[in-house]
Amino acid sequence: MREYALFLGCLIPARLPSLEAVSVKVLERFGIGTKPMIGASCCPDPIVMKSLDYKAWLAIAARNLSIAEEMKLDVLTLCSGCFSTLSKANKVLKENSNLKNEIGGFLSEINRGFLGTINVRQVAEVIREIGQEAIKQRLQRTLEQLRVATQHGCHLVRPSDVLHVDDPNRPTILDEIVSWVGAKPIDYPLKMLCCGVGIKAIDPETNLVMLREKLESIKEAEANCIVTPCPFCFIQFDMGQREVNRKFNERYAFPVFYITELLGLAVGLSPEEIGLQFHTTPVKEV
Amino acid sequence: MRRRDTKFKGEVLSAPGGETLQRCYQCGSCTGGCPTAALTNFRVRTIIHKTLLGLRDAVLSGKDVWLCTVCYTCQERCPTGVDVTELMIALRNLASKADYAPTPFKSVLKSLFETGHEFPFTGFTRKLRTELGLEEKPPLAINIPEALEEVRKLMKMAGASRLLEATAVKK
Repeated sequence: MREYALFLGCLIPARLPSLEAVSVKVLERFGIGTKPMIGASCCPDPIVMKSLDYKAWLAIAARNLSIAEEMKLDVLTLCSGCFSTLSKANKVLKENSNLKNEIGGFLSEINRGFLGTINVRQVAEVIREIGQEAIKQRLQRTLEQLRVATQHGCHLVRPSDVLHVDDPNRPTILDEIVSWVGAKPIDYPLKMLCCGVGIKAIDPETNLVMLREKLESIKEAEANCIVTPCPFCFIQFDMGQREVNRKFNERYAFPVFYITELLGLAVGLSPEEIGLQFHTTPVKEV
Repeated sequence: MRRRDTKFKGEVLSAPGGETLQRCYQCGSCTGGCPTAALTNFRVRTIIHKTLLGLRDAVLSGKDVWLCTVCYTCQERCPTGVDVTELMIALRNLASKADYAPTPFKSVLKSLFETGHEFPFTGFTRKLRTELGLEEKPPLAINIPEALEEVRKLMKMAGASRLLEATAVKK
């Protein structure tokens, strides 16, 4: 059984715990084990903390990596923000000796050290590794009625000097997984447009315009749901649709699935077991 | 306000993420692919130009540098290999040092210092976790005082706690 150090982060365990529960459950079905990282903190996020104090950001990320290094396991992240931070920090600390020494000095003060012995993985990658055959063998429910707009999000694939999951501008990893479970991936013009969560706190109005454009593009392509491997994109679409509808008098109602929720449906978990009742945008009969 | 600061460029070049600044030849591919630029006056190319000219205050004191979504589209498109998004982050770090960081960002830092997490666990979270069969209090920094203390020490050593003080003084 393949085992990972599960990095929970903040958004999922604190705000979207149903995604944590379903991810662990679904991965187990495919023989992928997860161990908790005792004492892990926020990654910290690659937009706010990295901007306010780069060295504090790097030091805290290094501490989180050191926990997985002690466990001698690669890190599995359920969040693309955590994936971005931990991957970038891992690379910087391996390649930049000045920063490695400075951060190493901080770490030694708390009796820790950065070794550079592990890798960081995102859940979408790990699911792709399960492979089409293994997934097909476990399919219990037909999802052919789902016309899926995939939202890869930014921090799964970019920057390409750090992340090597897929093509940084035209990724297809989610479309592949979607087709493996029998659903239909739908291409749409604004597929790679950012969800805009990075400016939500600074310019919420522009963020809603961005979301609306994206939702309109999905509607025009005649998709009937959205799938994403990032909890920030998930919240942007699941809750953001309601905000867009209020602000612009629209009626978008696309159910949003986190990638392991879709897989959970495919392998026969009930909507309640998956936690679909906790979504803001209701998931109708699937 | 528009006075040129000859030291500014050097500061950016030596900040993590700012190293590739001088590769910019002002083609504008960054702005062309920018999701914020499509909807606002935010212009990455202009920010880089001002930085190269040494217009420190114009770059650091405004709202603009904070309007980057950090989507990395520009960085992938830059034909000369400027790490454009990392450069925006480097500029934000300099703005933050000069105490220009926006309040919503500073409150995130405060939450990280106080709890070890940016989204604190609430009573609602704990109830929901229990319902889902998850540990009510998972073994994260927020629930382990020694772990939280380590995070705080790192923030102090790196100098991030200075930002907390600056926030406190301003309030």
